[in-house]
Amino acid sequence: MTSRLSEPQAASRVGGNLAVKPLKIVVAGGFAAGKTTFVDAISEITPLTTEAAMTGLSVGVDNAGDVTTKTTTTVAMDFGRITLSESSMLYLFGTPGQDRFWFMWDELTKGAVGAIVLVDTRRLDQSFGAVDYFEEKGVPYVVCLNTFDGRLAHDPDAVRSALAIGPEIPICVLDARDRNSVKASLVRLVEHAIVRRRSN
Amino acid sequence: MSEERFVRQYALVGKRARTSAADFPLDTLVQAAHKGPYSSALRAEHIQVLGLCTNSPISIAEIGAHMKIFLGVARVLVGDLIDQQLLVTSETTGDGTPDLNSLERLLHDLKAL
Repeated sequence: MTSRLSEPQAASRVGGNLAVKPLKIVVAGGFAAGKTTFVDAISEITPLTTEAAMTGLSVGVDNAGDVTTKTTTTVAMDFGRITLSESSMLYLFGTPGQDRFWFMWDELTKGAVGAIVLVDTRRLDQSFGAVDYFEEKGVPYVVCLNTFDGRLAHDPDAVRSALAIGPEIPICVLDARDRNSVKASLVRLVEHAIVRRRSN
Repeated sequence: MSEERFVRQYALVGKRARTSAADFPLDTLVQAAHKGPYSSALRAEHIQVLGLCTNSPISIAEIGAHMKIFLGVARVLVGDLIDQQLLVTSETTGDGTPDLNSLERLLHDLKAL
């Protein structure tokens, strides 16, 4: 999907006077898949939490008789930072877990280098939403199987087949607590994003 | 969530909380244009934002996290300070994936970590 690349640049009040530029990578995955652990392993700051609020009309099916009720939903995202050089700062943003927060994913993935989909192989079903989202939006992603207690419930081939992802998508095995392991997965993602960029 | 907390924070910036996310992506970096002193007309919250980025740039997401305010509120405060030329900003991450040069530099920098 290329439409998101051809959107006109929004008129901006942001000037670009600073020499440093941000880059971001999104870390997705189900509840307790290890997103914050992953960020913490490589971030130079203790992961922070930022919150966004959204108000809207409640149109939930469980609330059909009361459609004019104004609701406020808040969503929390954990993130970390790595200063790469004087001219670039890399942010790692954990996605909010629940599907009803897709609105926040759009902002997080806009302009992102790509995404890490952290998978707990005991709970594969929790990764479907993220994989579908990145496929549909054309965001480069790699699937990373987080080992819990050094064990995987399914091997990479089984996961590829279960998640129905193509052979071009890298799958790596990592320990989200281990800095080198996390670093290797980020390197893998950027390599994949470069290949994708070259072929576009 | 606490509705009260929401109302309190948005009362601070009023309806201006509709400031577009497209204008101020959460990863935009900002830094104070100078170390002050600042006009006494500024609100305490504005001074707090400036204090967070006096010495080095930080993102709007970090401002929200440190001040425990919603992103939308942080965006408005940052916008006010930009309008008064008290903050300088970075380029934003843009709409699509970064260009090839940026990706290759990132790869190099990551490997060197």
